[in-house]
This record gives sequence, structure tokens and C-alpha cells, in this order.
Amino acid sequence: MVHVEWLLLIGYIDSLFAERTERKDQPLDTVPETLNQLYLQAMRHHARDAAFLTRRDDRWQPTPDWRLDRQVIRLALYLQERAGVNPGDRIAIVAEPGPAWLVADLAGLAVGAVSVAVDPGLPSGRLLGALVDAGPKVIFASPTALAQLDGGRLALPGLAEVIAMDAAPRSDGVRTFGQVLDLGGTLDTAERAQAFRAQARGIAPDQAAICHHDVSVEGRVAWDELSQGDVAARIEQLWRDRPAQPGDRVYLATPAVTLAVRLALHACLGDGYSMVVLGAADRAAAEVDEIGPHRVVAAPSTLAELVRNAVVREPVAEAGGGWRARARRMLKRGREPPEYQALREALGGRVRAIDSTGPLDPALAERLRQIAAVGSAMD
Amino acid sequence: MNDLVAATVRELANAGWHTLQTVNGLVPESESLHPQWAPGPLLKSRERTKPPLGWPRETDSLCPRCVVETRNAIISGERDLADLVGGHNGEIKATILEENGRVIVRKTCPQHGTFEDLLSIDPEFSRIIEARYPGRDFRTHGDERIHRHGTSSIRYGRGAVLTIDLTNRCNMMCNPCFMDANQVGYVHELTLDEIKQILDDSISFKPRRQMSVQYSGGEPTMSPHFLEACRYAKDLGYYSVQAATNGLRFALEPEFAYQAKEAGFDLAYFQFDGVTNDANRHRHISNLFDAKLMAIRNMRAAGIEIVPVTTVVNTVNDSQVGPLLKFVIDNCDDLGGISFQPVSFTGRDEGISDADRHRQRYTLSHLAHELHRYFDGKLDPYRDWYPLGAVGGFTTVVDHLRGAEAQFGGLCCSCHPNCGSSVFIVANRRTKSWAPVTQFFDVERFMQDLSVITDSARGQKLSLVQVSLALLRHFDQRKAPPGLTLTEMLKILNVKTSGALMGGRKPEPAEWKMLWVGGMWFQDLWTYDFRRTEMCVIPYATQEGEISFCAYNTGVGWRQVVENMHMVASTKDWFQRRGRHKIYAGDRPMDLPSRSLPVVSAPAGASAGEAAHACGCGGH
Repeated sequence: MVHVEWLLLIGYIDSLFAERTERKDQPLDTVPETLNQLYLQAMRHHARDAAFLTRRDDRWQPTPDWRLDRQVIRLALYLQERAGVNPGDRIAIVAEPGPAWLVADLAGLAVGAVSVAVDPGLPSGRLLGALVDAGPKVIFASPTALAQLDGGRLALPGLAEVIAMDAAPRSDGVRTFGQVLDLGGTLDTAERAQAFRAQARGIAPDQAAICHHDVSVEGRVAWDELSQGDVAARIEQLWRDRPAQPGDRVYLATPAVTLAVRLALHACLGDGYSMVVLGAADRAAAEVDEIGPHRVVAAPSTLAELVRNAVVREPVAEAGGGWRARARRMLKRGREPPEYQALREALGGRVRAIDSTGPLDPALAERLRQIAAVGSAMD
Repeated sequence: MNDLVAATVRELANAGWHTLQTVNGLVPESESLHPQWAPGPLLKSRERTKPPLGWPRETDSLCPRCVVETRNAIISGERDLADLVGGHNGEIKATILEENGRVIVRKTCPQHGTFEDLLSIDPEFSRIIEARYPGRDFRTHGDERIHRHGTSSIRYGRGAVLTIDLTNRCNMMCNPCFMDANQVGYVHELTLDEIKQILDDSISFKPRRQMSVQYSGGEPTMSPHFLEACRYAKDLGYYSVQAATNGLRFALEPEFAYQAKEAGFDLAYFQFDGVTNDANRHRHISNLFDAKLMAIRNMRAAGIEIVPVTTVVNTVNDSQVGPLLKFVIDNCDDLGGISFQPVSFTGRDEGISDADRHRQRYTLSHLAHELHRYFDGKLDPYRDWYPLGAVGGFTTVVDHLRGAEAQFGGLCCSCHPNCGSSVFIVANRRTKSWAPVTQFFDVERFMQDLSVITDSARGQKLSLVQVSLALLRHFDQRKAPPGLTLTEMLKILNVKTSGALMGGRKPEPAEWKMLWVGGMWFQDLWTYDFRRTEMCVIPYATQEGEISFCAYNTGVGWRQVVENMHMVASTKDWFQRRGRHKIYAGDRPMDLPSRSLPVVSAPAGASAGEAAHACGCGGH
């Protein structure tokens, strides 16, 4: 009842003021010189309903750009004004991938700090060693990492604060992420927010940005460090190799934040219109089926698991259903070989690109190429 | 569409209406439906009750002196809050009467003597406004936990705007300010959980309301939870999310306007006192008007609607009323109307002398006559003004059309006719020509038609046909301003309904736009009338339930009581723990982002020097 709609509104005095504005759906096509500029540009784009989705309480919870941006500003203001983080200082993030991880990373980068990601799954000794090497001013630690680190009671030189990624307030005096955002919230005034943006925009391309701590199977420790300009250049390459489209959903499921994952995350966040779905590797099959991503970024083992789910079903003789149903079945049969269709369905039905966060088995890569462009986020 | 065609359409609609009503009259009325959200079947017009109206009449009021003594005793702990809820503190009888060509209120306290104040300078205007009041909404039901404020409790209606003070902090230092922001020595600021609880509670009883939420303060954008609060209200299903704001945050941080819009913020109830920097000088920022223009531009760019709000004080800024409306019409692309608020002597102004009070008193009748004078009779006090509660007639139709399964009742502004009145005007975006809607549309008879439609309750389709006929038969194109044809009128409606009227495609902006010009007169201790508070449609939602706007800010002073009960820190402690916020004051200019201005124009020769006496917080 179209006509009912306008009559319903007559009684609403406020609707007499209401006129809607259109959202932009054009992709960002310019890559700025630095990662910070890229992030700020994406936040100004206002073209997507959610920057990323995460699963909480058995539901997908969206984090829109406005919320992400405000949280980044608040955390950045806290880091600057309360924890005394200055450009060039290091912050360490010892946590599993998630919204808080991303906010901490972006806030650190925005104030000009070097964001160091450390695998929270490392044994206690190695974890401590990595942190000593990193020399952070602030550590963001997940509950499991915090347990490894003696509840945050660390005596590292130059360390100002350890922030727990917990949701609930802690009794040991360690501030939680929520408390820090709350304190940053009252610092978040128009003047400070604008000053923060100006400062973030002014960070030079050669300023170190992200530093990654990797431990090889043999136990060798490797540090990868990229500048703001390096990251922006790599993202530009990623965009060129695997162009995204407005409304793309990017499914990302990885137990740890590798350098490849970080780049993929920043590339998707920075294009201003892709929505990143932060999934769980152990539920990847169900989540991919639910989300129907256009791009999948996952560890080789997760991809292998998804491929194993691709089962070619014997066509069932469906009787009746009308001419539309029969035509649909015929079209479906004629489009792709059944094994391709099965694989596509196992990956959500509309995947165009697949990125592995590690070396792929050649046979698996070949199989995936049947339905999508396959590469590594590090390519 | 030429006049002949329009007249033919009108006559055909008229004939169709009368034919239908002939049949309608032969069939007994159907029973009203009983929607899920309502405490009973939808009210027919004869079932709507009205408060005592006309004069002379007696009502319940307050002694301005006793009330202050009681409030202070409660805040200092000498008396218990229960006394406020269960007692009749400071209550006295008052008489409303016509005397010397004016309507006045007179009351006598055995202890403090007689008090008298002005309600209207034109009894005929007030009589017409009261006569156009269609009647009260439902009595509330199951609201014992929310409305528990003794004689100040709201008893009728579903409300139109739920006001929530997010914080008493502010980034300005206006004088006066009814909540004394930054100066009371403590911080009262809601947590996000408290905001959510308040919003959840507000839909916990019947009638279940779909109202607007208006965040206020202080300056609501100072609250760290402003954006999340907008989102939560929208997620709950609230119709419109608004904020009574001074707009500085939007001027200083354009990105914030976009983020607020994305979070669900619809409309800025925008503090706006005059059309020059000089006319805003009482706000103690020397370039405040420039900042206001920048805020308007940023908010409009983000898609936020703006309604300027001006508190009007007789002999202080009453001459700004005409220029302000002209400014709104000249900038109708950016502004959706204007709300004038005759001064309410409350907060720090409770101590005003009798002489100053009588001199500065401004009423809705003053407003109607001042606009009549300024626009050379184009706005007629007797033809064009309707009580805000007249909208209730439209809501009843909407409720009928929505059916029994609707989860929320429509927005119903059924407040007392003495609380506010308004005019709708249409303005041409290009030529700026304008006219009041009542000049070419017979609103009075249209309202009568709506009563017939809802009373007969003929179901959705037949009601819809009747509403369409009623719309067509009361539009007289010959009396409309040149260029405003029936087609253009339909285009206005089409834009307002996002294209639903004409095929569902996104509409081009119509050349004409409808603007709301409202007068909202909040009570103070001298004009207080409990018959008005009990049917308040702009309740304050607090940790202590929902309280009538006037009972909260005036009356026995629930604001001071609630804020003292729930303060989160002393101002000094807050600054130590959380840091200071910037306050723009001292008659200095504020630094504004350097961008080309203006996008809206000030009328040439607008008078300067009249400082508005408005309070802060968007002009409540």
C-alpha cells in the first residue's frame, strides 16, 4: 500500500522537515602518501553501513565508520594525553584479531607511534623476550596474554601502561580497553579531535608505522618494519591487483594477526566501501555460508577446510515447481561444472578473490583458481 | 495545472465527499480498532476529554515563594523526597480570568500574598486557539514506575518529544542559563547504560509511543555517549532523534556532523537568537553568528535538518521575531522552520523582580500579533494559528491506517492548548515567496472531516479514499501564492514522503517547501497550571522517571532534586580526573575553520543590538 505510507506520515509533524540525503557509492580511487591519510580519507567517505562485522552473542554486530573513528580518536587522545605516547614511540598489541585490536592499531598509528603486533600465543618466555625487544611505551594485551605476562606487572624500561582488552573492569588495577575509551571520551572535544586529525595527517611517509614480530618454526625471531609510505604503497598494489567493488564483503578468519593480515585489513578498511567480516577460523564454513563474501582472506588450513566442504551433490529429480523452477534448474546446470558450483557454494556463493595468509599447497591453489582469483595478501 | 482544472478537481472531490458521507450516515459507526500499543480502542472524537478551558476558570497552581523554600529544604536534606511525591507542597488555587482586555492568572497564598501575571494580550486569539483543540489522548496505563511524581505526574497522552539531559557540561557560558551549566559545582552526566535504560523504560507502558527523542543538556554533543545514544534511540524504533544544541561542535568539526547523521541524528533544535553577531552578544562569543552559519552549512551538508530556536523576551529581543522568520524563509533550503519560545522565568531568573517580570513577559498572543505586524497582515492571528495539539487529529487517522498490529502509536502532540501554537507556511526555494497554508487550505474543515473519518472507522481503504477527497476538496488554488498549484502541493508531499506518493522513485527537490513556525510557551512559577503539566508531551526522562518539562525545570524543581541525587562528581574532581573542556566565553571570538562563507544569507539591514535573553541548550 504505497499510498498508505504517505498518509501515515501526515500525522508526524517532524516529517514535514524530513528530506533525505544520498550516500556516496563511488569507490576511493586515490591512494594518499601515508597510511594515516588513507584511513582519514576512508572515514570521510561515508559510503558504507559498517566498516566491519564481528560475531558477539551469536549475532553479527556492525561497527560503522563513525563508531570506529570515534573510538580511534578517543584512544589516540588517551594515548597522547594520559599515557604520554609521542611520535616514534612504540605500542605493542598482544591480542587476537578483533575490533579492539584494530582500534588500538589505528590509534597508535594516528599519533605517530610504531604499532608492533606480537602473537599472543607465544610461550611466556618468548612473549616477554619479544616485548623486551619491542620496547613499547604501552602494551595492549588480551586476557590470555595478560595471564602470560604476570597480570601486566611488567618492569620493562620505558613502559608507561598496560591496557587489558577485557570487557569487564579488573580488580588488579590494570585499566581495561572500555575504561580507556571512556576516559578518552571526555577528552574527545571538537578542538582536540580536529587537532588530532591534523597531526595524524601530518605524519611523514618515512615515519615507521607497523612493525611485526614473527617467530619461525625453527624459533628464529624476525622483525618486519614498514613505514607509513611503504604500507600505503603496498595497499595501492593490493587495490590494483584485486580491485574491490562497492558493497564488497571481505571475510577474514585467522587465529593470529600476521603482516599479511594487517595489510589486508588496512587495504579493505582504507578503500572506504568494503566491509570486513572478522570471523573465527573454527567456524569458517558456517560463517562463510551465512555471509556470502566477495573475498576471503584466511590461513591455508582454513581454506583447505572450506574446500573439503565442497561436496558435489547428486542432482535430485525435482518434480514440478512450475516453469520458472525448471528454467532455473536448467540454467544452473548449464553455467558451471557441478564441482565448480559445489566449491563456489562452499565459499559462500559469490567469492571473486581469495587471499591466503601463508604459502598455499599448489593443488589447493589450483582448485581455488577454478572459481576465483587467488593470491597472497603479501603478493 | 490551471485554476479551472484545479477548481474542477476540487468540486468533484467535494461532490465525492458528500456522496460518500450520505452513504456513511446511513450505516452505523463501526467500532474503533484496538491496536497492540494502546490501552484501549482508538478514541472517537466524542470520547476525547478536554481539560477545563475558557474563562473565568479555577485551576491548581503553585505559590512561587513556598515552592522555592520546599525545594531547598529537600536538597539540603531537611525534608524527605517523599514529601515532594506525596504532599501538595506550595500548591494553591489560581483563577484565570479576562480583565481589561487581557487574560490573566491570579492566585493568593495565605503566607506570601497575591501573585498575578499575564497569559494573553488578546482574549479572542486565545479563545480561538482553545476552540481548535481536538481533545486529549489516552490516559496512561501501567506507568506507575515511570510517572511517580505526585501531583506533577503526567497522566495523559503518549508524548511527542522525550527530552533527555545527557550532561550538564557546556562549551558556552551564557547568561542566563536555566540549568546554570558549568556553574552549579557538580557534574550530572548519564552513562550509556543509564541512557539505554531510560529509553527502554520509555516504551515499557501503554500507550506505547513512537516519539521523537531530544537530547539536551548542557550541550549534549559534549557527552561522550552522544553518538551511541543517537544510534540506540534509532535502533529502538524512535521516530526522530534530535538534539537541543548550540551547534559549536558541528561548526568546529564538520566530520562530527556526518558521523552524527550516520549514527541516527535527524534534527538539530538549534539555539539561534538573532541574525547578526551583535544580536548574539549576550552569549559572550563575539563571532557567534559566523559560527552558527558554519554549523548550519556543515549540518546541512551532512543531511541534518535544522530548526532554529529562539527564546523571546519582551523589550529585549521581541523585535527580532520578524527578522528571524524572514531569515528562515530566505534560507528555507537549509532550515525547516523556527521555534519561538516566550521566556519562562526559571532557574536563576526565579529571583526576578515583579517589575522586570511584568515588563519582560511575552506570550503566544504577543508572538502572533508581532508576526502579523511585521509581515503587514500576511500572517493572521485568528486564521493561521492552531494549537500544537491539533496535530492529534492527524495522528488518529494515522493510527487507524496502521491497523491493530502496529507496535507503536503515531507521534501525538496532544498538549494543552495553552502550551503552544503554530503556523505552517509554504515557501518557494527560488523566489522566496511564501504564504501560510491556511490561506489556501481550509484546515478547520479538514480537521472536521478527519473526525468524521475516524469516528465512522470504515477500514483502511475507505478511510484512505475519504482522506484523499478531504485533501482535494479543501485546497483552493486560486488563493494559493502564484505558482503553487495542486501539482506543486502534491510534489511537496511527495518530497516529504521520499517519493512514495508519486511512484516510489527518489523525488527531485520540490520548488516549494513547507516550514513550521511554532510558539512553545513553557510555564514558570507565576503561570503554573497543573492541568497543563498532567498532559505534557515533552517529558524529561531521568533516572527518577519521566517528569513533565515544566515540573522538571520549574514547578517544584525536579531538576535540582534529580541532579543532586545523581551527580557523578564535583566539577573540581571531574576536571582533575577527566580534564577540562574548552569553554567559549569572555566576549572573545572563537577560532573557526577557514572556509568560504556564507551559505546562508543574513537579511540586509537586520537590526543589531538586541540581545536575546534566551537560556542555553538550544533555547529551552
